[in-house]
Amino acid sequence: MSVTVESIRGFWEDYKRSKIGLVGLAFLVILVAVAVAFPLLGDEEIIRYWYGDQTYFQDYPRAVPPCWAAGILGDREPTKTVVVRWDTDPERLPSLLYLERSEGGGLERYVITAVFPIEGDEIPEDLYFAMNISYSVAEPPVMVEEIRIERPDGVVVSVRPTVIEIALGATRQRFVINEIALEMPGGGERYLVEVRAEEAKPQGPLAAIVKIDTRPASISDIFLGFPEKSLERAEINVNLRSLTQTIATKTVNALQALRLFQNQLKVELVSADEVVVEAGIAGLARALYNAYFLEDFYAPFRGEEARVLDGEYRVSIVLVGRGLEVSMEPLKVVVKGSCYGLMGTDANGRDLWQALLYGTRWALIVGLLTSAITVVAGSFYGIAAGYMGGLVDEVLLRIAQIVYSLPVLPFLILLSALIKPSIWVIIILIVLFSWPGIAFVTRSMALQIKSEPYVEAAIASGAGTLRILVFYIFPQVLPYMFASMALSVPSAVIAEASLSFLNLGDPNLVTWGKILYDAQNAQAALKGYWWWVIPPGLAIAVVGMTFIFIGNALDAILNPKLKR
Amino acid sequence: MASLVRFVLTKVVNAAITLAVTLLLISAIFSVYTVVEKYSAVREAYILALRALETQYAYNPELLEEKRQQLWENLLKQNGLTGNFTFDVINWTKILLIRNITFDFGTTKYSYIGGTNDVGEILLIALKNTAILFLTATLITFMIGIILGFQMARRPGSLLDRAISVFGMISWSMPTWWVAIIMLLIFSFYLDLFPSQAMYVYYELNNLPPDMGFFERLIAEAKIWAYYMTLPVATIVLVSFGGAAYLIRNIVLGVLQEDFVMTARARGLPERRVIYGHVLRASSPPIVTYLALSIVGAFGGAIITEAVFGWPGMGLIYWVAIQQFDAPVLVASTWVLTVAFIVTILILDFIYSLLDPRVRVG
Repeated sequence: MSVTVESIRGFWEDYKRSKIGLVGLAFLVILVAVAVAFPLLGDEEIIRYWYGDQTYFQDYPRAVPPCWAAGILGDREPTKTVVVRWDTDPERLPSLLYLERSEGGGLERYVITAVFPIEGDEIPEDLYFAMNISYSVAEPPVMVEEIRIERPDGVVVSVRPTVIEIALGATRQRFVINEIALEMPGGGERYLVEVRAEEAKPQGPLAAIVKIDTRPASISDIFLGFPEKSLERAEINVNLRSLTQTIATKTVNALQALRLFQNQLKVELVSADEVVVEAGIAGLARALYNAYFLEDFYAPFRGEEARVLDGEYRVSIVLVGRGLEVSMEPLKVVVKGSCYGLMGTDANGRDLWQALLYGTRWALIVGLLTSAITVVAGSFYGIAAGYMGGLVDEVLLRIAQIVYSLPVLPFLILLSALIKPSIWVIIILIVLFSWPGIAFVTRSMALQIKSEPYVEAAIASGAGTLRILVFYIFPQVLPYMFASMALSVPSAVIAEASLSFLNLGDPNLVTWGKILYDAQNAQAALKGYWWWVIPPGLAIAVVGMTFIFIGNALDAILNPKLKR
Repeated sequence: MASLVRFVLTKVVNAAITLAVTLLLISAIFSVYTVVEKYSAVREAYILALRALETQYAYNPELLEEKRQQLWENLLKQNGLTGNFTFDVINWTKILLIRNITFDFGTTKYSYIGGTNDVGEILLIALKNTAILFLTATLITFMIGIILGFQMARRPGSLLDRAISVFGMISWSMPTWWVAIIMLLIFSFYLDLFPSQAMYVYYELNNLPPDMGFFERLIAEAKIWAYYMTLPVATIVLVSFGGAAYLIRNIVLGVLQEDFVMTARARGLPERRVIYGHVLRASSPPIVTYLALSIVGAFGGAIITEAVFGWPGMGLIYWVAIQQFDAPVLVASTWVLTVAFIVTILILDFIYSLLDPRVRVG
């Protein structure tokens, strides 16, 4: 069968008639395009870090669904994740994290502002920003005047850390307490925690207590370990969740300590409802965190669901000091939302969409290479047995039957576990167990072909066995093998995925089977992480289907006997 | 009759050769692995002990050399090695061959199922459970496959025929164990109908009160089995019945075109009797052959499926042995599985020979 333009055109005419074949071909084109164009479609850096340094993924929320799935997940829209980093987005970052300077009352005042764009209904897992900061002050300490958060609706949550020093006889005690206020857009304030520190009349045995002073807290009171005088370019990570936790802990602890001096000082936790007071530190931290986001921030305490306001949140830290100088380089601004990207993330925060795209490459390589080698080797084995006949045939057939009747997967598992193979060795292992089926078919074909006149003519003209096998019989058999080639792709892909699923695959490659192994390890199915377990398996099935469709269409053309 | 004996004998000899080759292969592979491991262990121990030796005998280089030699030989002897790699491999292959033939696999330091450390016992329990699950699933698959396949063959090109054919293609391209994960997601996580792990089935069975009546107990046990087995069985059936129906359809379609069917119809037999009397009889040998082949195909997927469901069978043993890298258990289970597998195929071949009159009468 010589290949001509005419015969290819005729073949294509036949192929076009098979609807299923066309669907398969369309899928194949898409799959190959994805595999080849991955550097354009995806992010190769993510794949490089996939099994490497996991801190690369620390800014992404863990095990969150894709953002488009909002409708499936219920009526609450998940909050989008925003990661703006200096190394990837240097143009946008300065508009989200910046430093301003002002003066007043003989003090220098620096305001570090971070802007968090929030879109969605759920309270984000976390908000944080990172920067390199340097400061120095003429007259220590550097003080934190205010930490304020401006919400999109104009409400401002203001935390003013205040130091109260008290003299008790000869000993002095120092407390840092945070005043927490909500400033309403129309004016007016509502206190979450108000410090009413005024001198009361000395009474009883504690008569010696005298309130001495209140002033803004120093930087080391709020950011643990930061020197009060100067700092040379250190990285600081401000995390809203831990910041609220710190503020709440300090406030409540200070309140407890101050209660000892109730008669002398009036310190009150005002207006924060009993729930917050009763729930203690955790309650205050939660109320404060909620106050940043929710219109009615007591709703979660009542067991109700509350929606987050959409828009930009501004977090400002106001530093003051005499002769203060501050410089800042922004590093990143992160909103850790409750959804991410097109396919969500896994338990390490890795973007599953990237792995899904990238996996196409290895699925196709494994599938195509394995089936091509299997078919070529198997059909060569088969025609050799069939053509040579006699004892050779008998022995070759017996060997093929032995391999054919082994349970493939247990053997693959055993071998992979013992030799820890690379992807290329896995391909060879799969070939080793899958060639006999092809060999049986081609052997019976060779039995017919060998009595054809042109083969006999070739023998008569002195052609060697190898020559006859390669040039006379093999080309005859090959076209019929294209269908088998396509049809053996799915089992090869599934075999590789199965090994990867058992963590016996190539340890350095990101494949669909490996994603599913990670999912199984994290018990993704039992936790309902559908975005982690469904797509990779569907992808395997799509590759399989593509080749089954193509194979069936080819089979109908090449083996017309089976046409019905 | 003579041809039947010859047919069965050939199959038995074939199976025996296959088993022998497999046995040799497994033993040799594992022997190489073991010897390599042992040598590296010896080398490690040698390097560790050598430091102490060097400081101790630093004053006398000749004595040091002698002690060094002694240490190396002692370590080799302790690990049952001779120092000649090829010889050791052959020696170990022999030991492993004997162990495998006698099914005496020794004990493992890890715990698997059944609260025993005897590898043979563990594998016996596991094999039994795998057989229960796999046979149930295969039987159900074939019942559905035969019913659907015959319906499809009677009306080729009908909606049912096309739908099941496409479904068969789709289900063939899915890994069974992935479908298992999805089943867990739907029926265990979202609907909470079935357990996520099946290994507690025996625990529950043992927890039944001892003073139950026979029928009460029967119903209670059936309930427990159904509760734990439904999902694994449903998964295997779901993945394989489409393909089974499609293949049986093709076999039956071939038989339907034969002359004897036309004759039967011409004789005025009702269609039911033509189909279930004549056609089923004639197509059963290839269906049995296909059954054997499909066991080959479905088996691998099924053992990983077991691991997903935590079904206490061979699959779970594999999974646990891989996690702990318990090589002896891996080898023993591969061998036991191969034996069970080949014996099953042999039995099916025997059934085939009984069904096919050409083999029986010759």
